[in-house]
Amino acid sequence: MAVILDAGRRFVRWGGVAGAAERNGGAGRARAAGPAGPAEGGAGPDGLGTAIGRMGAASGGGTPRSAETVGTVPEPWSRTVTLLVRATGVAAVLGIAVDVWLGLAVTPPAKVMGNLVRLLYVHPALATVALYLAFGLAALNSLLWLWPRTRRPFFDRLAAASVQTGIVFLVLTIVTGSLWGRPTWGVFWTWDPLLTFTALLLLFFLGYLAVRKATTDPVKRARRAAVTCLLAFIDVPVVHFSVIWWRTLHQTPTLLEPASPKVGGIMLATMLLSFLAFTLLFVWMLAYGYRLRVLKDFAESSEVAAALAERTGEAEQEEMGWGMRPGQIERASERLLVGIAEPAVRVGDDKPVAQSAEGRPAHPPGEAVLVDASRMGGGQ
Amino acid sequence: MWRDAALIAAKDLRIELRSRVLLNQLAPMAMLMLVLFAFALGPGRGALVPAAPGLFWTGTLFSALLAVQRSWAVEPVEGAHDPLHLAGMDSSGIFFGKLAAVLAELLTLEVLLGIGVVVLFGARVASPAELLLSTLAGTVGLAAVGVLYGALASGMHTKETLFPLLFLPVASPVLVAGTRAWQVALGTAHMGAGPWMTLLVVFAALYLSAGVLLYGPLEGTE
Repeated sequence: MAVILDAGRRFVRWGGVAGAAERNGGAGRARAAGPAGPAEGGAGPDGLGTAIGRMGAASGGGTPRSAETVGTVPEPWSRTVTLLVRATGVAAVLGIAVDVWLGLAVTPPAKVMGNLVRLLYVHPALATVALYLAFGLAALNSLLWLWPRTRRPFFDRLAAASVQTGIVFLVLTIVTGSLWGRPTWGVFWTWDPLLTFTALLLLFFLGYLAVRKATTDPVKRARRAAVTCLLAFIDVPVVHFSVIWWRTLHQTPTLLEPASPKVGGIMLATMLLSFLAFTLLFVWMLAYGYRLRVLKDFAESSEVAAALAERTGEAEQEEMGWGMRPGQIERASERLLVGIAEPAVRVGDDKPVAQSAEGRPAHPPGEAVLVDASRMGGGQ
Repeated sequence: MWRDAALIAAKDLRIELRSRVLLNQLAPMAMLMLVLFAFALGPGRGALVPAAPGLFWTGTLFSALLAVQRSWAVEPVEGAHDPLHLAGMDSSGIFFGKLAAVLAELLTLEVLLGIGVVVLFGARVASPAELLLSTLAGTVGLAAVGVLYGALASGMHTKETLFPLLFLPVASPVLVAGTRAWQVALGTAHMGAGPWMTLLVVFAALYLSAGVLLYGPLEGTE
């Protein structure tokens, strides 16, 4: 944990571009483009900024200013943090390797469950990490983001990374649980309270990710994702009780629970090792999930910054002697946008192709065929 | 706060009274659901009567989906509430206002669904008090969750598909508890309705408080 906290602190100090936008408190409504708030331009409702950014990149007209803004990719981790994260990864992989060796080769099969008992070294650890660590961490970070005093992009990114990693563990939990259930209970799935609960939790997680995908405005995304996480979190106890009562109050609990075996000695050690190894794996994946988000945010905001710099650069060039006044710059940028939208205009609207010099409709070749064909069809 | 709530609720209900979308589209839709359920499980009453409570609450859940989406469709512009906040309106007031309007619409639909279940499926009401109380508690919870997630999904891309994905899993305890309470009330299950009523009331209380606490931050006005 210390690793990630350190990374977060460093990034907050570095002052990510999106971070600056969030601290300004603007809800992403476009403001004047300045070097202080390039992320806000990117928060436009329709991704216009991104489109312009792509055009700017394609035209290759890199002014010195855009090179300055886009040039350096931030490195969110110091050398120490990188080493610590790598050490965590190595420890996780080694731990899992030892766990596999102990679980498959060293530990004996159980009396009742036979070799199935070996799932004990995988499934409970996965489930614990997914249900408690991932979801708990996501809820905690969402709360910290929503609290105005502790609002940092760090918490939003960590919550997102936590949910994303949690989904991997949750799906693995369900898959290993089904593999265990088939030989033990005779079915892959049963409407056992814990299973139902886990399935609903997966749906909450997927909803959370869907919310994050549904907007490009970083502040809106963080705000709504945090609320989604907390709204799901307060539902957890209610869902828990409802599914338990759903089974027990209505039907007799017919489940053949796996006879809880007495676990001890090498088996216990293997199981405990699995908890440690999977927790380390989670932390490792979480750290990279977080890092990915920092870089993604930077990529998004620098794309927009480049586009804005492009526009400002053009304006400065015009002022210096190309004879374009500020009003003309707006028109020039409009022309730029019309350039993007041109094919749509031509298909949907017949004005540009209505009449040629001879007074006949001057369709572009492809469209002329289409229109004529439909007319012929109508006439016959 | 309550004055603000009354204003918002009156506004939404006035729009509904003038546009009649609920009456002309949602109510027939709810009836259609009952007919479809009968096609899926009928025509004999053997399967329909035991399933009636579940079908009623499934119908309610899907009606709530449409009612809430309609409730946010009448706020056409994203950030339509910003002027309300600027005018000094209370966030909780807006939340309770939207909630009251959705609640009124949902209760109307539920009366229709309830009559449909009794008439079309042949269900008999054993204890009306439990039926009414559980319906009221469950519907308040549904409306509260619905308004919260409606606000959350409003102004997002893909809000039409996002909202059901968020709303339905979270609202599932109402389906479980409401169905069980109705089974008791219709006499198809023999158990105490106590725990289920508690669950419905706790659910409603939880999301009403969540609305008071989170609706402001959700609209960005803390």
